[in-house]
Amino acid sequence: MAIEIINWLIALLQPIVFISFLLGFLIGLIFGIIPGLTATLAIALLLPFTFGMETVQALATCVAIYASGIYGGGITGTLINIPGTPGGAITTLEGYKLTLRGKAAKALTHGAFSSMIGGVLGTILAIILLEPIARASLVFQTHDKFSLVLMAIVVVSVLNTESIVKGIISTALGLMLATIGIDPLLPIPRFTFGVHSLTEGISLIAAVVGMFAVSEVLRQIEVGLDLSELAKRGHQKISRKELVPKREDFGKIGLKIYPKSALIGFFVGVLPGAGAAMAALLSYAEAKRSSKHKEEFGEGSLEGIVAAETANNAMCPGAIIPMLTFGIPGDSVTAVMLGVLLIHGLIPSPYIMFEKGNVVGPMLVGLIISSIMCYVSLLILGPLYAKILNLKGTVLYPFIAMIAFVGVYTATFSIPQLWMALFIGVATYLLSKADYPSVPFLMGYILGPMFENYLRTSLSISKGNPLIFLTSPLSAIFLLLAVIFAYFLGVRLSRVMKSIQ
Amino acid sequence: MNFNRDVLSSLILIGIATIYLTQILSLPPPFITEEPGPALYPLMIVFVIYTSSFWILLKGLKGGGKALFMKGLSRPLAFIILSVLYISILTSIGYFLSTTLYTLTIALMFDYGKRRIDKSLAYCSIVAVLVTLIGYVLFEILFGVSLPKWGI
Repeated sequence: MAIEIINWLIALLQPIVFISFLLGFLIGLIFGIIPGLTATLAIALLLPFTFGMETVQALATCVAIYASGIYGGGITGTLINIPGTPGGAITTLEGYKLTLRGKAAKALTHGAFSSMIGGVLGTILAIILLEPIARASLVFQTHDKFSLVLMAIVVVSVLNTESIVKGIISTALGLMLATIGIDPLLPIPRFTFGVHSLTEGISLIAAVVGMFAVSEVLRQIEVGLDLSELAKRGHQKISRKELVPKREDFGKIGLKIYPKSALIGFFVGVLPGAGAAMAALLSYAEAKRSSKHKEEFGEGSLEGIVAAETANNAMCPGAIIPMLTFGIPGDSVTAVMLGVLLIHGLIPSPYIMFEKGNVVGPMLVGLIISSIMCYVSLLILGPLYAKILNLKGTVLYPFIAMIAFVGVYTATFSIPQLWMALFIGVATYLLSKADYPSVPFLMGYILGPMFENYLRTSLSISKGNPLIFLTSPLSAIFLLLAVIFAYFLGVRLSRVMKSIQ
Repeated sequence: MNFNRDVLSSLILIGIATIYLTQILSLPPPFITEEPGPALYPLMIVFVIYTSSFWILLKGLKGGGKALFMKGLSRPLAFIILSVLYISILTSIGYFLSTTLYTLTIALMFDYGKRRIDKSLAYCSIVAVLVTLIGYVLFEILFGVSLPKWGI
């Protein structure tokens, strides 16, 4: 194993790969820090460029964006009380209170340090678990896979939304979008409305760019947020000497919170559609429940920051596992990363680690290194973080719009795909105006083809008898889990979230 | 009767589901002997959208949805129109001219009201040219992808 890890590290340290990796880290950090921009958007914009990259280079760049984008979300929250990404919301709750007391450096230090620990522990867990998961999944038959994907669809629908029904509709719209084009089992075009170019379906790039880039530019144009004004608010002088965690802080925080939060984050990551915000929230709730200093929560608690940041970075490797092994992404970022895998001809499978270890391995090592870089980047760039907010919307959004449309064009060389990207972007924007979430829309689109394929193949095997899904023990377990998740995540968890809010 | 965003969105969704359903009717039946056909799965999706949308519609009619009127939609609408124009002319007038014009107008929208109009125009023109050049360097030079030229 040690030799394999060294080989993965060598592959990652190839000059071109490592330069892309570092650039990816910086881009992810910037997108994480700037409110409205996310790691998902960064990878969506990167998608067209990955055609011209080697597989290892593309995946390493993606994981660097992923780790730094998730980490960056908490920085803005700490400095200006506006989380850069949804995953940074809990860190904001505690971090900004410390900033108001002149302790921004302390909040940033523990945020970065725990992001590093969370990312490293989570990735080690992922490496350990990949083989047992692969062996366990050997017994999965088509109908079991259908129930597994159905469970994922149920979880995606009930999470990420205040209204479960709206979550269900968003997922169904994503599933609907994925049916456009040639039928997966028969050579029949569906839902093309007589438009010949729609027979190829809607490309992943057009869908992702529409959902995340076009809709975001629309939102920002509507809001007209002036980031430079926010940057002034976050102006607190930070020296590099303050950015080293102190021993007495660890004494107060305790060391148990790191592995516990990493475990919570990792397993939340495995749940489809849960994402960083959910990981941070659950870990924070558990830290508050078990803390000896409950009164400090909500008033600038370091424990709260550590719990949230450890969990949201441990979530990243957790979300990668089901994406790699079953093609079921853990969150919106891994959903887009799945597109990168497919572009490079990598089909997710339980054996991917054994068959394509030379490609997947460097990605996992990249996740460890980018987690370490979260803290290293604080030491180097920490005093400059607030200045990133000086990036003007006048420059940023024309750039995003250009990359989005030209990216779709260069990836597909199809004008109809550009129309689809615009249409999907406008639809996502309008749906968000009526509180329909966008993550289930994406997940429905990604999971749709697999879901239909497993459904129809299973029914063909059973000669149309749907009881096949209940008579197989594994399938029945997944269906039962779907019901349990629907209850706990849809009903119970919303109560926990309301109590924290 | 409350006519709010929930009511409007659910009516639009029911409309979309109906259009989708009309296409399903042109497909072979859901079950051909005992084999599931191409219409089965889309029918299930339509059923979910219909029932969920009616639920939202009824809830919206009882009240509770956000008010229909939305402020500040003129700028997003302008962006949509600009994007429609951009996609329409990208391949006919080429990357450089279309992208410079497109990014210039978007930059002007973001810069609106922040400085004098002549200064804003000068600043946004520089931004547009730079963004277009960066796009050219990234796509054509670094990644070797051919961008649309004038008249192609």
